[in-house]
Amino acid sequence: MGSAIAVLVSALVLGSLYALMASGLSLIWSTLGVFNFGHGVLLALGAYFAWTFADQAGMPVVVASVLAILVLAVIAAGYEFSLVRPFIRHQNGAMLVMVATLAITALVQGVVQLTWGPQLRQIAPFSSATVAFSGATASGNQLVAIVAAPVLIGALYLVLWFTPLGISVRALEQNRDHARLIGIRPAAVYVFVVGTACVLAAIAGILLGGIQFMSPTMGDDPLMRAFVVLAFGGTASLGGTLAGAYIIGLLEAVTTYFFGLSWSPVIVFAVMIVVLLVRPEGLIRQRTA
Amino acid sequence: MTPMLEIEKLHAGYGKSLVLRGINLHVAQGEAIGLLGPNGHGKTTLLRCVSALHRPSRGDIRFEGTSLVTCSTRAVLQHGIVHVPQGSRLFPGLTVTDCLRLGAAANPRRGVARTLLSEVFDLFPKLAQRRTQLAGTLSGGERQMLSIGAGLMAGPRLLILDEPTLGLSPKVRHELAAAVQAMRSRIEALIIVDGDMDLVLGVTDRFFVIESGQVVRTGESAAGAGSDQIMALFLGET
Repeated sequence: MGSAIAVLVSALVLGSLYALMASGLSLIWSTLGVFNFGHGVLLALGAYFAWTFADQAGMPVVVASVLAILVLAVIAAGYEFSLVRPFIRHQNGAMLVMVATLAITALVQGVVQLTWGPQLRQIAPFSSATVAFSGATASGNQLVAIVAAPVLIGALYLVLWFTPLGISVRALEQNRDHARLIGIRPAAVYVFVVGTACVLAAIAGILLGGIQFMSPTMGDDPLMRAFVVLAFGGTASLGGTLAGAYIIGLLEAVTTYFFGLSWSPVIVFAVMIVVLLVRPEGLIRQRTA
Repeated sequence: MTPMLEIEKLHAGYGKSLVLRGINLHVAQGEAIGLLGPNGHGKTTLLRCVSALHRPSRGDIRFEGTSLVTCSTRAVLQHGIVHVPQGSRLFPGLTVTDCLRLGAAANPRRGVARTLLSEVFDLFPKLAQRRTQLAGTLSGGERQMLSIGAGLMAGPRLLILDEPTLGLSPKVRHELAAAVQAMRSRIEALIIVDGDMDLVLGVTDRFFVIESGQVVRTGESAAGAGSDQIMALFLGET
């Protein structure tokens, strides 16, 4: 029983982190039509800034985290301005943006390495409390991750469905030309979309940086898993993304428990290839418009 | 009548292919004009240039004396030019009400969405019945009504309708033609392109026949109705 609960906690934590990553990726994909390969370094930046504010400046972790998120929101504006806006208007804009985000990944990883050094670091926990249940324990950080992801993604859902800005985002996703004809400004929508995705990645980074050691490449694995999540859940709905994230989290937790850390990614990516072959539109049934 | 929209020696194309070859055209305040001509000869490209969806390579488009050729789509809209494009599926995942409210977002008159919404529902009662339905689940005719309705929500001074009856049954075409007639009193000028020549000549004051990217004939719509020569030009048989 204790092992089962431990696997479940692990699945929920992993699922939550992947959901935060994949929902941002999915938002950018469905609005701009590009995969943001820079998503992993945004996660790392969120973690390193939170660590700096908490560990170096001595701020409480919650304050440090909020500050790091604000810094990432500013970085997001620069990211959109320098890596999306100049390229997306070209005929092969999607390809240019993807290449630019790949380039920035290598660049930022180098800058993080030079700035913060190669030492392994970890953000102090939000709470030192642990919860024990049937022989398994969950740390405060794990519980924060488990609660934060669905709450944040639920909030994003409400914004997308019930606010004029969110409805504009969905309109632009569905018909770019007609959206422009009724006065929606794609540039303003892109800033919101990239900003939201960056903030979600930063939050994932802060949560991950409190659970495991940080490194400049700490975003690579979650980014790869987020791609698998999109293959599972499809890119057309947040519900699909959320379900895909928790399926992958569960699959990874179960395979790690039974086959070990080395075999888990092998199995996850093998399953992804099978899913792509059998259901290229994703495992989760999408609502057809 | 004072020219509201003036198009002068307009050239436009895609890559090396030139579609518009020096179009001259004007629309006066209070006037409705129809663009006729065979498919693929530049009517839609002309409309896309007016609404800034496509940049002309040469020539000028002026609205009340102000050049539009360097304007953004949004700036053109803010001048009061609203373009309802051909065969648009609008926003299939949004409800009818959301689509219409989005249309009102660009309306320079603040706080008029509720009034306009009820006016659109009066004009197209079918949309009122389907207000919570997703646009993607509407029939072709209802979708077209929704596109026009979203255009009206933006508070157009000059309304541009591109093929509003494309692919619709005669009954729905008749309904839309009646709606276009009814909405004329609410807008200052209208440009319509449609494959139904009778509809175009029935709701407009003047017509322009566009062939190979040029205006080859123009005249009073009342005089053009039933003309075999116009029909031949319309079908590209001359």
